[in-house]
Amino acid sequence: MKNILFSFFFIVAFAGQTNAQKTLSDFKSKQFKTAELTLGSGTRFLGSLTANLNLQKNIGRHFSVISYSYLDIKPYGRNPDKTYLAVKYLNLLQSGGIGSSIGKKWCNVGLYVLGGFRFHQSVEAVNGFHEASTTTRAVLPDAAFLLNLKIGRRKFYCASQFYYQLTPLDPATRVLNLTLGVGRRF
Amino acid sequence: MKKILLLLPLVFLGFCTTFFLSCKKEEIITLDQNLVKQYQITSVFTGSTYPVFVVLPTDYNPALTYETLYALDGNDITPDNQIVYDLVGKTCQEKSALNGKQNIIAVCIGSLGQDERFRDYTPVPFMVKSAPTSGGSEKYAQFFEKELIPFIEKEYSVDTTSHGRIICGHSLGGTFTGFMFSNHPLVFENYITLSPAFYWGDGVVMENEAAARVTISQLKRLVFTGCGEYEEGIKIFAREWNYRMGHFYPNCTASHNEEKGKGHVGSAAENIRKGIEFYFKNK
Repeated sequence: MKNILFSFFFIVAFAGQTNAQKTLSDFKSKQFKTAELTLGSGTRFLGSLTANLNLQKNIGRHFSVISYSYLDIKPYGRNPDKTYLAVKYLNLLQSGGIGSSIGKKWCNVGLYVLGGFRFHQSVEAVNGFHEASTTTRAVLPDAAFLLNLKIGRRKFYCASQFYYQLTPLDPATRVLNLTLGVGRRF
Repeated sequence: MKKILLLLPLVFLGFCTTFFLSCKKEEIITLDQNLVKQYQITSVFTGSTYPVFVVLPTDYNPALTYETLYALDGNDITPDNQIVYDLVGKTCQEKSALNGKQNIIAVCIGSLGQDERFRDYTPVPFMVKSAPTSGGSEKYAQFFEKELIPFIEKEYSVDTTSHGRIICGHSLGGTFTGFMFSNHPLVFENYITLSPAFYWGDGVVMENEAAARVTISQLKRLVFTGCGEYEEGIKIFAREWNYRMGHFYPNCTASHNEEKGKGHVGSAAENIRKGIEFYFKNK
């Protein structure tokens, strides 16, 4: 898993560098529309994989609307030091929001406020218990800050996102996702 | 500069949202501080000095005999900003009155820090990179049995049998209550086991219970198990513990609560209330 993520980030970073050689259109123009796909590791469970799809459209020089989706999944398995317990975990989020950004040519940093819904499912299992596994499912409201970084000068550019959940069930289980990937402007 | 200023309303909006979301939904429970007696007790077994908060009933009368509730993490703060000893003391007042029973003395033992929690509440070393001090429950149990309980029973007019003692712990504290159940079964008769981290040591507490079952199954017990609805890695153990209490211990009265919409930390306060209520209803 780590090797796949590392390879992905390396390719994206390399693509961003080569893209930087050429001129591109303005990140802040009113016509700017983009789709970004980023990957990372969720903080709730080590070893989980987070994939984000981020659609953005500018509605003026300074503001843009955003659709943010993420899938946070931990495949069924036992941690090397927790062989007793197995946990499978899935989070699917769809939210939308509005925000503003700084930088228009080769770098752009945006801050967004998001609201939406999260589908949550977890399955836990322990060998030999009377109940073979326990499943929890819920649809929960979700609000968050999103910090969005774009670097690049061409149609494809480097994108990185930091998702900070404002409505955690517990402070200890707040969703903090840092992801890195690629964006394409339309 | 102008662009930075444009971001400020969003940042402000975000902080406002965070503030309102974190506002307390329940009133802060306030306890008459004259009822709280504080001690510092040094243990020769663990080598630490523990803050101990003893909350007396409002009408404490030395001529009577009281039961005692030993609560772990007594100086911790709940998400709704209550100190645990305050919450426990006030809840004992309320629930005893509600059930027409004599109130009890709450003995809330403070924890010293994360390293000491790992050391005292866990029965075996585990995840040693993040918890290098773990595995000292036996010494902490000795502190309870030979230092803390004798001290309380000397200072106050209390029931000196296991029948009159309750232990309450959350998370790693819940693990310690399970350890006491199996490894020191004659110290406490009543258990409030909340969100127990029974995965610790590859389920050593569950295995200890299974091994000790033959010898302790006839003991009289009151066991309340609680957790949050959204607790991964905890809920299955809490359910299994409750199942074992109900099926393998004929003299045990067991109850289980999964706090709706709550996680590990958020479920603690309400489960403490429900656990204490369970005790007063069934004692």
